[in-house]
Amino acid sequence: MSPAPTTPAPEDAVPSFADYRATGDRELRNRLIEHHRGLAAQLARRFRGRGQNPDDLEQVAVLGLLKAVERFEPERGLAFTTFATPTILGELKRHFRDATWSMRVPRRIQEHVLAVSNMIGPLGQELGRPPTVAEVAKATGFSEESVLEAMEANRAYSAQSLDAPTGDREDGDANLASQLGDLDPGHADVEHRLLIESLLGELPERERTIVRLRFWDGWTQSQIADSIGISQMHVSRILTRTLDRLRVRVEAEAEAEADLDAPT
Amino acid sequence: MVGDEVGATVDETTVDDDEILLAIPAKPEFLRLARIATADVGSRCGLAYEEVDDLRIAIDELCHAIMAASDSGDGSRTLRIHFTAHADAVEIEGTCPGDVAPRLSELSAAILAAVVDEHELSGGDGTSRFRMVKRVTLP
Repeated sequence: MSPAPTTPAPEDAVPSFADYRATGDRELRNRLIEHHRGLAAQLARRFRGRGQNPDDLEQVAVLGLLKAVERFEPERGLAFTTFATPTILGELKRHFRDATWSMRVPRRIQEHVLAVSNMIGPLGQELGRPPTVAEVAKATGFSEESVLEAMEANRAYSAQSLDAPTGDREDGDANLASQLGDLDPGHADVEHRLLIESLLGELPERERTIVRLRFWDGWTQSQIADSIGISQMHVSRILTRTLDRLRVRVEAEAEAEADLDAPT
Repeated sequence: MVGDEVGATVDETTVDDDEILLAIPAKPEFLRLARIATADVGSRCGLAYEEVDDLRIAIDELCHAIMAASDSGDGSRTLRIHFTAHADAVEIEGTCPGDVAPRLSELSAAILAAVVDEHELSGGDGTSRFRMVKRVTLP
């Protein structure tokens, strides 16, 4: 083993937020996240014992940390931990708000959902591809029927996050609008397109991003899950309820349009 | 698990070993049954877990579309869904009485294009129909 260096090499030094703000360098950002990861882990530990996987909790906390790193303005004179703590706690609380059951689901099935959710990511990494239902069943020790039951029960999580305030409109909207423009001209209907853009724009930032990645950019649920740092089943849940909500809005608009067109 | 060729004509009176027929009231609250049957067929075909989930999203979209075109006001119409497990694909067809031609919103069309390999919707002649295919990609 080589002796430890007496002075840290430049790449090991703690990068400054000012440098990151000035350059937007992802490498600097990642090092900042790594340096402050302990804070995320510490805050995640506060939420243990509530039926959530500790690794998932830490991932959620790191997502909050990432947001804090990106938004932190060192020139304001606030300590980073002071700034980041409420952001990370907010992300953890939102995770729990998302992960409450919206209807009575037997405890056994809730546990199955959690176990299946926790198994899919690691199993996919082990296999090098998304696992089948049979493989998930074998890995969890459940029957295939129980795994499918868990998939359906996954819908029964709370839809509260969709009632959250609309996210900011900065990310991805222009991109989404332009991609909507590339859709099959057979469905081209300017008013309808505007409606869809408007409905998507009303979604909270995270839901909008997930819908865009899955349905316009062609990412798989697992890829989105890995990218955002949540489980595939959480992505599934968000997609399902976002689509349910959008469908209700689209149908309501269609009915309103039909009423307007109807002879009086 | 080898059924008929994809797109073969459906005989609604009998089913083969790899076919399922489901008849449910054309009401959204019964779509859970359609999703469960869909998930089961997808799983039997060896689709990945998340592909099964994709298939469930697709069945929801298409059933909603033909139910909207078949709306009798009291949900008294019957939605019939025919599932076939082919060696390399899941094929699902649905019919529901309805005079209005069903149509997909642009959003639904984008969703379906992302989650299944083929989808069709037709009607306006007294019966609304859909058909979709998702191919098995895993070895």
